[in-house]
Amino acid sequence: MKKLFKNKVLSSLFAIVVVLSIFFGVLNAVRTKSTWAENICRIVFTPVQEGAYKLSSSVSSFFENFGDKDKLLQEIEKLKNENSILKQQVNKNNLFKTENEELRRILSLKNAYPELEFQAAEVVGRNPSDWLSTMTIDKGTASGIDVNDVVVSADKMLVGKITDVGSNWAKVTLITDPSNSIGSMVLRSGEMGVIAGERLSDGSSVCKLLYLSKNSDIVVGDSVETSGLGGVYPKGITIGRVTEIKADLQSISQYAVVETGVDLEKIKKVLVVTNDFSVVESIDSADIEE
Amino acid sequence: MKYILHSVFLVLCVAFQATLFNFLEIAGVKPSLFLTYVICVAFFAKERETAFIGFIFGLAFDFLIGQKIGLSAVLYLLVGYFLALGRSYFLSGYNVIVVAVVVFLASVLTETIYLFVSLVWRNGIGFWFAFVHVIMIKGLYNAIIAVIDYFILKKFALAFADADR
Repeated sequence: MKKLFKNKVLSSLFAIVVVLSIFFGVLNAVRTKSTWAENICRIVFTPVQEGAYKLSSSVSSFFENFGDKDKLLQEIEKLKNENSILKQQVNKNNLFKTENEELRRILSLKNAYPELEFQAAEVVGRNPSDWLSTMTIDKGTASGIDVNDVVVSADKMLVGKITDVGSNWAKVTLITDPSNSIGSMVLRSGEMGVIAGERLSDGSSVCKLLYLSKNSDIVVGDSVETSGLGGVYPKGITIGRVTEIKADLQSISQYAVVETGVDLEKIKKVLVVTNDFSVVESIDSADIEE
Repeated sequence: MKYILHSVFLVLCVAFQATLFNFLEIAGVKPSLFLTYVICVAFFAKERETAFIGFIFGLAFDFLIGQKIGLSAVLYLLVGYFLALGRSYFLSGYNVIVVAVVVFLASVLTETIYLFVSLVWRNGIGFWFAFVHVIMIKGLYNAIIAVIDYFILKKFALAFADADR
């Protein structure tokens, strides 16, 4: 130990350490706030630390994101799939909702006319490019459907009549088809006429109420329904509303353009009245009297 | 010139000790850039110079990061001095592995003393837990960092030696 203290350097070092230890010990004991030396040190180095922190945060976040890239891509893919499934579900639900509403209307119609026999059918085909306005339904003779049966919508709007039938299918000729001639009348004035379909050059079809006298009492917005004349269509089934009144070429009579009460391009479910015509007519008469 | 290099390293240690290495923790432990640098300097500088560098780096550590002013300053001063002294006596030739081992042992010893002295101030650290879970891992981390310090210092030491000649 004596030798150690004889070494000048080591003894100086020992003295320095002792002095420093005492100095710092006292300093730490009495220090209640930062010393001026600490403050200067912090003032000088804080901007350096700030810059370094921002830099290292950016670098770290870059690498974190880089590392998570695959995970994020997987997450995006998963969410996309979920989104797609949910969209399909929403579409399905919307379809179910529409179908449900249609079935409710059909049910209410059946309840309103308990004497009528309806056969609900689904539209399985259309012939839009054909010059004939027809559609095919999924029920036929096996369900009691026959030629000339009247086809209506769930809202009791006239759609057409059965013109061809098989065991599990039937062809419906729509009221807009030019081959149709339906005895009709204006509900408000009782003015009689004939509804005939007409195919326009743009491919669309309209109904015309023909053979109206020049002075007939008809205005735009009048409701038109079947008159029961002709023996095919029962009386009192709504066809549509008058949208336009025009004089014919010879100007001796006029005709009205009638907008059908049902969108024939979009209808998906129909009701076929399988009752005997006379039964239907008696029901309709009772309905009018009410 | 040498002191400019030390100053640059001091700025880098200050800049990164509490910033970059917060994001580069290993098992929740950061290396001690200040201590590692002082130990590495001991391989290239003489005792007094290393002691002085140790004191300055330790003091900077205490001012910016440490809890008790002067504890690291005195500790690093002693570590720097005795390592430089020991190197001149025991290590005639050495390589990066020797440096890493010395840094690991010196770190463990220094940090243990630091912890032991800290316990005198009753800062509530469990000694064995801290020794196993902090000091040993820190020693290894310091050894890895020391490899970088060593190569940089070696290049500059050679340059300084050339300049001196």
